[in-house]
Amino acid sequence: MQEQKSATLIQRIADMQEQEAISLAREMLDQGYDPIALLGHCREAMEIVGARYEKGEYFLPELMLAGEVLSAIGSLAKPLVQQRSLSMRDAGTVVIGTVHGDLHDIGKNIVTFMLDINGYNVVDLGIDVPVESFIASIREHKPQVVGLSGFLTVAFGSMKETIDAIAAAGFRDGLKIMIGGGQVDETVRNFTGADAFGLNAMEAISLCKGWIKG
Amino acid sequence: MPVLPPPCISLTADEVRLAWEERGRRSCSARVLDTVSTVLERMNDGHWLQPAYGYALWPVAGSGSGHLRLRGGGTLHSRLAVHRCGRATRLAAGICTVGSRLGHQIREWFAAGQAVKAVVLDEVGSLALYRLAGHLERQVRVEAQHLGLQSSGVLHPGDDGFELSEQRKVVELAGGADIGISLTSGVMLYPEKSLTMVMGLGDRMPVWGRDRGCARCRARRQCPYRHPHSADRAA
Repeated sequence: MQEQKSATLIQRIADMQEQEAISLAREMLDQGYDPIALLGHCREAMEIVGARYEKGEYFLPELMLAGEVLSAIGSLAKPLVQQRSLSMRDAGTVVIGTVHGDLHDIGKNIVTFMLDINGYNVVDLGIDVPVESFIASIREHKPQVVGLSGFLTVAFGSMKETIDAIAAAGFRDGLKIMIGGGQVDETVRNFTGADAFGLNAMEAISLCKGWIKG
Repeated sequence: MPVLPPPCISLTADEVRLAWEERGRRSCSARVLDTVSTVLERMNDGHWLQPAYGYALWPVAGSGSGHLRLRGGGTLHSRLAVHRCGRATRLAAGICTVGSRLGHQIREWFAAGQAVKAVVLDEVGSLALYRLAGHLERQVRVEAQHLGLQSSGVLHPGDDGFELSEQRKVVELAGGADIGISLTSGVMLYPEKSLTMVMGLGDRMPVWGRDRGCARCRARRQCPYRHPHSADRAA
């Protein structure tokens, strides 16, 4: 019975049946279903949604919608998880920001949102972020991953400058750096010294999942 | 430069849907379409679109290797502009924006965790900006006709052969400050949803469509706004 409900929940999230999915999640939790297991189903559903998005079967707002459903279900489960003294933020820590000289934030916000609902502890430094702010945040939060965003071609120089400064500050070893933005590619990754680049939010999540294995 | 009266830029939910469906070649979900309607209603009620545009015509005094000399306007450096507009007798520099209110609202919605509304509004803002750019382009073409001249296709800083660093010069030529558009140190336009353009005016000017620019753009594979008929389309 519970197995069938779990499958239905995954299906409803993946098929954008927002209200039906939230109602079912509430019902399952009311009946004592393990909140951590429930969140696991949500992430399973997000993987389906992500795959559909990458295949072009879903548009960006649909990816975001699934994220909002996951977030709503997360709010229902969170108090129960906390009662059990368990952490929901166990996927890892990511420091992210748009590099200095660039004010674009939509792509960075989308990645932040998707990382957040996938269980990462995200420290979003905002836009036009000076090199020093990245270093201070790395020192404070000790992330496994740093994400640098930049839309303009002139942001590539800022990305390189930031990565060089992170290395000079002694934080490069053991830290993965991903870059993203409108025009990044392998040439830009090579120029900046980043470990990888992502063309969309799902690629950013895949990178983090690959780098931070539980 | 002539700062033109703000045009009426309106979008319907159907137009937004069609823009998505043309790019994705499939239907939007009903839930997303509901959000589009809600966002448009909020945008119209709140007057979040603050369109403004203007342009200026500069006599072309001559051209050299990779630059056009403008009488009273200094020099515009662009191999592409010389190649495409080298025979122009005037250069039109145009600029437009949908204002900063929309960007503030997008950030507000993201901060509140309302990501669907935020990305829908971003999309609507981009479509509105392209529509406004169309008005600007038509306005320049009308003036060219009045002057007995033909107008070329449109060039943008950032196109191949037209370095983004020339954005500052184009903003200055177009009179961006007159409509509240500024540039960051990284030559990004503010408000974010703004764009600049350059067109050549003269005899027998070459005309091309946006698909040509998209086909040559290095970001064409991942750009959601690429022209649907550009040759090198992502699979």
